Parts: sequence; C-alpha cells; structure tokens
Amino acid sequence: MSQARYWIGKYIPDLFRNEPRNVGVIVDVGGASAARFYGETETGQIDGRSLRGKFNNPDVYRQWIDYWRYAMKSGKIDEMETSNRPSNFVLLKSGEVTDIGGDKPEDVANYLFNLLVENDFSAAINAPTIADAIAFADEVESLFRKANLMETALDNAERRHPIRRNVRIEGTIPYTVDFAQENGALSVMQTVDLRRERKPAFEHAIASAHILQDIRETRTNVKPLVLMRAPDEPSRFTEDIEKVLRKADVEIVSWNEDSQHKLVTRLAI
Amino acid sequence: MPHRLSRILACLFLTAELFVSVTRYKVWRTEGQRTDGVTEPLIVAVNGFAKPNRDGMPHVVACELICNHLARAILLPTPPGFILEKDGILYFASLDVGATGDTLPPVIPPTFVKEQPILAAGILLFDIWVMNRDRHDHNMYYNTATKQVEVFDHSHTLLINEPIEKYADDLSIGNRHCIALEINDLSPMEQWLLRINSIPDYFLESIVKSTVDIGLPDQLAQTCLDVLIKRRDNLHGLVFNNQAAFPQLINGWLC
Repeated sequence: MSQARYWIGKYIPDLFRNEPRNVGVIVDVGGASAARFYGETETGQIDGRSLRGKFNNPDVYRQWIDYWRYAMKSGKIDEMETSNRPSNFVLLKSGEVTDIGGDKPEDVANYLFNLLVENDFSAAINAPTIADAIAFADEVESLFRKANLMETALDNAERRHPIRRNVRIEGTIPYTVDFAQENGALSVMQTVDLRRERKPAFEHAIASAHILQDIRETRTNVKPLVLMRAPDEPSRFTEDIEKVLRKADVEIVSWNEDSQHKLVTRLAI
Repeated sequence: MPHRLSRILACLFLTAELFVSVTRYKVWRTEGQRTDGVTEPLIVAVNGFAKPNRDGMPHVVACELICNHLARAILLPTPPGFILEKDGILYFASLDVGATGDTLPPVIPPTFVKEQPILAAGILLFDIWVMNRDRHDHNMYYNTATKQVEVFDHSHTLLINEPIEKYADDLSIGNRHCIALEINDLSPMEQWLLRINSIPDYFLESIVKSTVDIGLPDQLAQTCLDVLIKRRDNLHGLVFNNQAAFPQLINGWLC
C-alpha cells in the first residue's frame, strides 16, 4: 500500500490575530514530489488577479511559492524548520495519505489542494476520476473517428450508421449515454475506467449497469455494452464490478488492442 | 599615499556599484508628535529584535556589535544595531527590516548569487573576515521584487571560534556557507577587498575596545582585535588559498 507525505502552506495575514489560511500543498510520494498553490494556473503561472484582496503583498506570496518549490526540488523539505521568528507564511508537515494506489504526486497534490485549499470536497473526490472518465471517452471517440465511424457534419449523406457521443436515450427515464449507434439494433455504450479503483469509478460502473439494463428492458432490440479499462493486475474491485455487469446482462468489452479491433469491425457492418 | 595610487583607488570606488542601503523599517506604533521644534517630528516606536548572551555563547552581544559596525563601514546592507538594557541584561538589538507587511521568505542562494553577484561576493568576503560560521538562507533577506538585500545575525562570528587565535589562519566559515557553496566568480570580490583593506586600525580598535564596556574581558578584546587586523591584511591570501571551498567556482583568482 503506497502512501504520500504532505505539507500545508499557510498564510497568516495578521500575526496578532493568528488566523491561518491554507494556501498550498506539497506532496512527496517515495521521493517524487509535487506542489500546488493558490492562484496558480495549470501551467504554474500565478494569476495576479486572483491574489488581489487575499494577500497583504502578493509579490511576497509569489516569493514564498518560489522558495517552497526550491526547497521541494532540492530535497530540503524535510529540513525546513519552523523559525522562531514569527512569519506570515509557514509550511507545516501535516501527515500522510494512505492507499493512494498508483496515483502520481500531482494527482495527490490536486486532491489535497481541492480538499484543503479550495474546500471543495466533491471536487477533491471526483476531479481525477472525472478527468479519467472524459479522457477514456475521448480515446474511444478517437478510435471511432480513425475508423470513420463517428458522426460528422456530413452525415446522412456519407455515413449511414454513425456513432454519436453523449446521446439522450429514453428508458424508464431519460439517460445520456456515452455512445450510441443505430444499425438495425441500438448499440448503447458506456465507458468505464477502473484503473484508479476509487469509489466514484465504482459508482459510475454500477450506475452504467443500471442504465444499460433499464434501456434494454424498456426498448426493443438494444445491445448494451460497457467498454471497460481495468487495472493491469486483477483485483477484487474489478471482479465485483464485472459481477454486477454480467448480472445486468451487459456485454463487457475489455479495452485492449484485440477487442478494439473486433468492436470497430462489428460496428462498421 | 602616492597621488596616482589614490586616483586609481578613487576610480575603482567610483566604478563600483555603491550599496547605500535605503531600507524601510517597520514602525510598530506612533506615540504623538513633538511640536516644540521646526520639523515637528513624530514620536515612533520601531520594531526590532534583541538578543542577549547565552549559556555556551557568552560573547554574542560583543560579536554582533563589532560585526554590525564593520558591515556598515563597508556599506553592506545590514540593519542598524545598538545595545539595549532591560532588567540588568544587555541585548544587541537590530531593527526589523521590510515595510512590505508580510515576512519575506529565506533566500534562495543560487538565485541570489546569480542576480546579485557583487553583493554575494561582498557578503562572503565579509563573512570570511569576521569568521562567520553560520551564514544560511534564513539570516539574509532578498526581496526579488524590489531587489532589496539585508544581512543580519552575526552571533556565530569572531569569538565563537575558541580560542580565536587558533583559527586566525583558516577560512573559518564552516562547510555550509550558503554563498560559498554557490559562488562561481570571485572577481567582484576585488572592490570589497579594497573597502575592507581601507578600514584603518584606529577604527577597528575603537569598535572592538568599546565592547569592554559591555563585559568583554580586556585581554579577549585585544586578541580579537589582533585577529581582525591580521585577517584584514591577509584576506586575499585566505581566499586564494581556499578556493576549493567554493565548489561552483568557475572564475577564480589566479594570483
């Protein structure tokens, strides 16, 4: 079970009132480190507009970010001591996050940042999983596009049975499914990425099983499929989801090169 | 001094960047205004830090006072220092720098040496002169936005090396001096060498002997003075013979 150590950067605007605010996190996973600080864009630049009104002197805050990143890169985070001199900025060693699976330090940093700095617990849990889900669906779409199966603006003229993405399908209630194709039968496809083995991925897989089952039972001639990317090693997590999907009578397409080829061939007919 | 040599020296000082620090210090509070003078000054309390002698470090106050005078004499950016007395205990006090409102971070040594090579050389040479074994990223300030620099904390100098005369011919800056580990060019040291060499004996004697008033034994003050004069006169040799102590050095001294 791998774990991450983390530090929280804090800002104390008024040393007399001593009301610290979390402004960043630094994470270390087995010697590899990452950090994220308030006001930083995805490219690591500081968005000065977001700092206005939040810091007595934004230039000083930027310098503290530079210093903390320097200490992180030069392996000196563990040596950083809390100076006896009162300071508006402190970095506190805060603890460990266990069971991070295969998450990279950047992922853990994003998670802790959302949790501890942005105070958005929902975003903390779902952010990496949602990103994964979208990335996997993008990958599937890319495969369909290469095979000239995806819907384009030219359809009805050149492609008789296009695959569409984010399609609204009526079951007992309306659902939006990842992909759908009408070619005699209605093929309904959901993408499920289980590599992170996180609760949201689990819940998404279970929800997909329910959606596909409901659509199949409500309409006629429906072929429900789950396109599933599983971890490299078999796990109880994956086995449980496969059980639920099989019970829902959903076809599982494991996402590997061979099955991709067969799927494309099948949908192209 | 021959006229030509004095002109050469004057030119060297003029071409060098002069670092007269115009630091803004933190005002803790204002306590009214005097109206009995032309300028009607404000009565202010200014923030600072004060340190006494400690067990195992009985000469902190003396060392700080001496180094503060010497640093300011060669125009290194260091806050003004003075002696305070409270409840019979003497303290060396220095003003709290920075009007930014927020505490600056410690220095990033490679950044500092790269952006301020002249000051870096000056601080290193000064530390060699006063045998400072404790220069690290927390006892310097460098505001990368305003380019303001301040050095402080000279408690681990001079008499911390006991007996001081034993270490008089060593570099005596320890093996973790944050500038020594990053400096790559010694040429900016030349102007600082001139400044230090120009400090007259009487100035050093006055500064060091004044610490007898704050408890430094006479004999120890004399030994300290002798070492300071010796190191002032041999600074070039100390640096030249110990260039291996600067691991990043590219442009050293050849003679």
